[in-house]
Amino acid sequence: MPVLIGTALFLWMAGVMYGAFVYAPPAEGLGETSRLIFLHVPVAWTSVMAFITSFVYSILVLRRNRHEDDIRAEVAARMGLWYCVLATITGAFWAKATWNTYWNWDPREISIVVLLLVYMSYFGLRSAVTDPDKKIRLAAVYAILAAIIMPFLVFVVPRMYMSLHPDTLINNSGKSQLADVRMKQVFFFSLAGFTLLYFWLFNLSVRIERLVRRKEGWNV
Amino acid sequence: MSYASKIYAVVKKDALEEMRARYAVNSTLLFCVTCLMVVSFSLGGSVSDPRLQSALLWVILFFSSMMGLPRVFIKEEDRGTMNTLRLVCEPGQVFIGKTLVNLFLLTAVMAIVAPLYIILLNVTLRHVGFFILTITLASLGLTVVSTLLSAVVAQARARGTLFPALVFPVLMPVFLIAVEATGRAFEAPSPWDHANLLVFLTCYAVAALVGGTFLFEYVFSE
Repeated sequence: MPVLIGTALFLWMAGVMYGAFVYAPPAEGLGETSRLIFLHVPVAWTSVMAFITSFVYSILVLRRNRHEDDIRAEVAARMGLWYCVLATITGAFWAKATWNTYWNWDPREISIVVLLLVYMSYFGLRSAVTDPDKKIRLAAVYAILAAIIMPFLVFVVPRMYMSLHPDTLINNSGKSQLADVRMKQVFFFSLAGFTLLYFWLFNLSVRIERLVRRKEGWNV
Repeated sequence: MSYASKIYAVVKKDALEEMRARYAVNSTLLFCVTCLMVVSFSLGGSVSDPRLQSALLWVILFFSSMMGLPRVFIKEEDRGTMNTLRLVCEPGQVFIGKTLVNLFLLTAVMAIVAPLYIILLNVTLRHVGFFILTITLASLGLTVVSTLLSAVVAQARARGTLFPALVFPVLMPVFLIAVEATGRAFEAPSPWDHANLLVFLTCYAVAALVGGTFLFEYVFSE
């Protein structure tokens, strides 16, 4: 069964690549760089999804005080960090292609950097606490505090500053930014593929992390 | 003792300690003034862009508060008096009490540093009321978040370096908006058109206070 799922996922992602580079037409005005949308947006979406996963499991850590929940919270945060790095890098290259500068502190760039800093501080805190029970509690508190503050950055600050970034998937007008039908198809195909890939990797990483902790002598 | 009187007791204890040694106020203020001198000296006393003036002011205030604010819990942890606090008070009382202590400290520092900054950097402050409201509301959010995270950091190693790293991302919204609002108080014809900046700072402080009071219980209890 796992082999079957793995193969199906591999074929799906191969389909995403084909769709992104061959099937979908380039967007009007942006040219060939518009193909980056099939990578940049799903990756950013996944990093936010990982952040929310980590937030939910952090609440569970505080409520049930179980190390099993902490494994999931940490793994989600670690994956979120890497996806966030990818989203930042692809975003910077795209900004160079369209705005002619890698970085200009656009509100969206601010929020992704803060997300990156939150993740890094989260791991900084984890490595600074020795007692396992204390470690999971304090890390959970930090993750929840960061999640309480996030809406201010994601929803409020971009409305106060002018942003060059195109409207996000969930926007005010409720309209999608993708004009072409084929682009839309590939985009949602890619979004679903990356989401499934996230769950697959998450499951694998949780199992690995559990083994690592057992080896370190944690009671999980 | 009632709920409020225990909060008062926490504040009074720290205030008495501070009166005797003046450790926190002195060290924070000295650091702040040093920062101010470094900035003022290296710029030669004049920066004309109001946006830059306000950014520099907030950089100084941010790093100064990073020196002083974490002390409220670190000192308890170092002396081993944290358990006494746990015995005597409920978490909410300790959190509110310590937040008030930090708020007094920060207000004292701001009351000295802000006028000094305006004099030394030759800033024209056009809207005093807007300016005072901005720093008051921003320091409220700053204090609440710093107090909660100082209780977190007190239980970790490498506290001095970890604290600013933990606080900064969470405080980023306040920082951004405070710089913007202060810049408007320095220059813009009518900053009150941008009163939504102040509303933002208030909302942030309230959200941080509610979240902080709830989360503090888990940081504080053993």
